[in-house]
Amino acid sequence: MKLARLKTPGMDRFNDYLGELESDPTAEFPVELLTFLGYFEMIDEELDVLPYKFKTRWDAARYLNTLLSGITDAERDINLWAWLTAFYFDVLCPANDAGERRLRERAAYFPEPENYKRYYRHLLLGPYLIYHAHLDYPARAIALLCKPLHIITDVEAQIAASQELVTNRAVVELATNLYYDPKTKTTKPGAGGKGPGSPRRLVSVLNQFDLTWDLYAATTDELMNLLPKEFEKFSGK
Amino acid sequence: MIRRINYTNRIRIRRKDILIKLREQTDGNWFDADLSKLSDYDLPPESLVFLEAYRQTNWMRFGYGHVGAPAPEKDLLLKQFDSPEGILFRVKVTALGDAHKLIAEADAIPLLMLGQEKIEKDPLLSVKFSHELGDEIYRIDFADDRPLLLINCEIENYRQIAHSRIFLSLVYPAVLREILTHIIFVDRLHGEDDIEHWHYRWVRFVKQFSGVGELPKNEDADEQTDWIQKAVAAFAKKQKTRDKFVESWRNEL
Repeated sequence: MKLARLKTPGMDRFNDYLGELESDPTAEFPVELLTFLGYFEMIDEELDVLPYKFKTRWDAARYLNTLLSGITDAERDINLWAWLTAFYFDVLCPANDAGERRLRERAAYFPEPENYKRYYRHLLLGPYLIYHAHLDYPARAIALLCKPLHIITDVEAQIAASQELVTNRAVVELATNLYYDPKTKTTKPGAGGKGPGSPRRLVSVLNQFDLTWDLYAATTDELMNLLPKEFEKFSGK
Repeated sequence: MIRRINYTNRIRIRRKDILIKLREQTDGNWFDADLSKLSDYDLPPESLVFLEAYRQTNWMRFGYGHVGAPAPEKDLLLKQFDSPEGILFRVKVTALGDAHKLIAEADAIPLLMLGQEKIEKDPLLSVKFSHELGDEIYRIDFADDRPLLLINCEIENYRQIAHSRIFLSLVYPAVLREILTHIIFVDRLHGEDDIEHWHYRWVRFVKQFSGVGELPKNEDADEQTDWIQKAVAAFAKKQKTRDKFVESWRNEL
């Protein structure tokens, strides 16, 4: 299928459908969103969108960054992301054997790209933006994107909700060094907690550092060396 | 870096003292910055200046010389951004010789578009239409670091809701109460000394119309709650919310 964006009637229809799903989890997806020309407009007839079943947020982010690399201001185009969400709806909100879909919050399907505290909750735009912020070396953001599409870990939620932290290369690399296990290719046990050494504590400590230091100028090692002892269980030092 | 936390020494640079203008060229969007007013602040002339452009998760950093002689260290092409709309800037001044120590900062400086000469003032309370409110008619959202009034746009003629007398009379006093409660009891009023911070602007707004005086300096919750109550009562009186409500109510009967 060619890359497209929903028109206003398509946005309304999609939104109505999400409303229907709230009361009837078996409500059938309105395929006309992707077939009726009154609901969408093609963006680029050269660009084919492929029906992948992404295993992880990383997979989705990598594919979408390639797909959208030639689209101007793609990250701000809400109608484009709504169309992509509709296209991948069976992946993003799969039906179980009984045909029931478990709907998440509306922000998971309708993006809020201008809201820096909530943008990451969109199941496609969130991973795309995080990956895009680290295009020079995306692997540094793997701790934030290693889970299946519908799982937003605390590592991601804590870092991505701060525009200053998620764009900071040293901070994101620090999070990956602390919380990602390259052997298991997922986050380390305990990385989802709220206690000492947790991502929540990391953000709290970094916010304190930010009062005094220019964190964008710091290196990953400098930040690591500044962390209190509570982080040693993740740093291995 | 030395592990030390400093809450007091950083200088807050006013946004209006920094002018950053868009310059369109055939190869893309550039910017020019006027940092001449940095000399009005008590900053060591040798301290380093950096500009950071950002929008969502796009971010670029530009070295800008020293406070005594601010000048770009490289070209000022905004190549990470497809378009200039919505780009904001930070200005950071860091100490020379004390690695990465931040001594002054300004944030959320808008990029002035072509023909725009000064920074427009943000409204005290912005309104946004939302699909996410379910059966709620309105909600105050603090996710964006300042209050936003969300209106449920899945209601017929939703754009008129915020102007209706019933809404003005019932909701706005509640909105004021919620915002002041958030400032005092959730955020603990941390922006009081920053005249561009939304806390400061709301407290100033309340003091101007209500005559309630200064916010209680102590942490006495009863005194703080009284202060909020007086402010809301004064607001309701000034806005004649009872008259507005009664008029609407008569039409309902």
